[in-house]
Amino acid sequence: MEWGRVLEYRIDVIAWSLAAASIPLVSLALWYNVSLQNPTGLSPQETLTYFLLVIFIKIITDAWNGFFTAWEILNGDIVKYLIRPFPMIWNDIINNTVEKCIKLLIPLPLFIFFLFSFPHTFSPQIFIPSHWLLFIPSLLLALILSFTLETCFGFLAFWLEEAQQIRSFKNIFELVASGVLIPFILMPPTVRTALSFLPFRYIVSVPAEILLGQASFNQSIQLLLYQTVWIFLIIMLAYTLWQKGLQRYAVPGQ
Amino acid sequence: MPFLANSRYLWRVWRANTRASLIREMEFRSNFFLGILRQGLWLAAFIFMIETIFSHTQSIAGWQKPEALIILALSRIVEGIMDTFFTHNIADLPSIVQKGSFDFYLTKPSPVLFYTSFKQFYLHSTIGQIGGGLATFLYALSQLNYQPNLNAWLIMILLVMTGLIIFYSLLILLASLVFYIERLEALWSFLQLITEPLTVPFDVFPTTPRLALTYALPLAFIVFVPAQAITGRLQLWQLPTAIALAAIFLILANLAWRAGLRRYSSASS
Repeated sequence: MEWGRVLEYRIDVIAWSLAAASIPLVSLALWYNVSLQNPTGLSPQETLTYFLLVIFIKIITDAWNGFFTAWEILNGDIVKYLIRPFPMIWNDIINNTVEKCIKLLIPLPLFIFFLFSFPHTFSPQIFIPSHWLLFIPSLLLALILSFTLETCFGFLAFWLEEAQQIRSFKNIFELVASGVLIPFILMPPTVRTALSFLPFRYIVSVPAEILLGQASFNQSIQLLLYQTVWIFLIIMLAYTLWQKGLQRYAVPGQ
Repeated sequence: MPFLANSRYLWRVWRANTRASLIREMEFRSNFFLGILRQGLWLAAFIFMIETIFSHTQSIAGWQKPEALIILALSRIVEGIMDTFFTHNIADLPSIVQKGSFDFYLTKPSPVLFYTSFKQFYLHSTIGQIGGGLATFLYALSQLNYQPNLNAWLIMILLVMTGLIIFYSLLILLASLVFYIERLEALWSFLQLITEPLTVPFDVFPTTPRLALTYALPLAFIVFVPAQAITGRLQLWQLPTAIALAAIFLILANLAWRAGLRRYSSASS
């Protein structure tokens, strides 16, 4: 059923992917110029690979379910899910998964095509199989983390009417804190350390860092561990928010 | 003078709408302040990016740090003007057509395109984006090692106005598609696609996309060319080109809108 629904909205799905790619593409253009002039930082190949990976990872890890959850809590539509015999979150998970598959239909083949036709334009690091072995679990963890975090922001609507505004704050903050505007490796050290204490780095930057070999094997394992811990914490938080929220929730207008 | 009487009438309609919007916006005060704060955060994120870039290099594609800040600031001001007056109104058109409330627009005693474009006035964009942009602009000017002369200022202001016309026309052209394909939720995404590259010097793009964004889809003329004027990079031929492009796109947008409107069939009847 979800498949059919998403297929109806083909143009929108393509436009969403394009829009999601626009910010990393602009960052790529900027940082590529920097890498040409500054030999000490990332090489041009690494910069190119990093931002193309960011686009790819962002398409896979993006979550927007909080937007709908917040609206449905605010206008009372959430009731129609509450009376169904399975948890509401399943809806979001299915919707999210199906939409991802559609969104990947164009970028994934393109990505693979470029990877094998112009291997020298990319950083040689991404052809190392062991990096992929660590990258794939890290990408899956990032996906779960992003989804659960977004769910928490949606649940804020139980308490705050401005939940949508707060979500948009999160989206802007995420641009910096997940490494879309600036690669983590090029940030000033203090900022880098501070942002590493937040979950956003583990959603976009960490999988890319692992695949690009910016983290050693041991560091990669450590990063995977951090991702798992964050997921655990945020699922606990989401569960608490959901329980507490439902207890105090009064459906508007009914 | 029918034209004068007409524009006086439109001015009165716009003033009444704006008054209503302001009252509405003040009713949701926390949203209003959070909106301003959001624009502040956005600006801070991009200033931080520029700061970081210039901690790694002296100049990027020939642009110094204060000049890059001028582009960012100008993009904030221009987008702020657009968001205050018409971006949201036009971008809402698809959902209005889909819900069928576009019928009400058609029955109003003011021109449809005028009402669609200028229905609501967004004060938080004025304060957040234009205010933040102006502050950044003044700061960047004080950091420049040269001062632009009066000519540069006048040309920049003229170019900003042609840029606004070009952007407005592009939006109307895109929005007119709704009359052909009925559903156009994607308009918001296209909007992001158009506004995202405005914040950077176009010289950083590779040749093909740069030329495409200058002539085919003339985004360069919205922020980048005015910024070239104030930083003394403008070539003489760019000024008439900007005016010609603005005229061409405005005419195209009006033609597309009219053709689209003739095809319109209400959603509910």
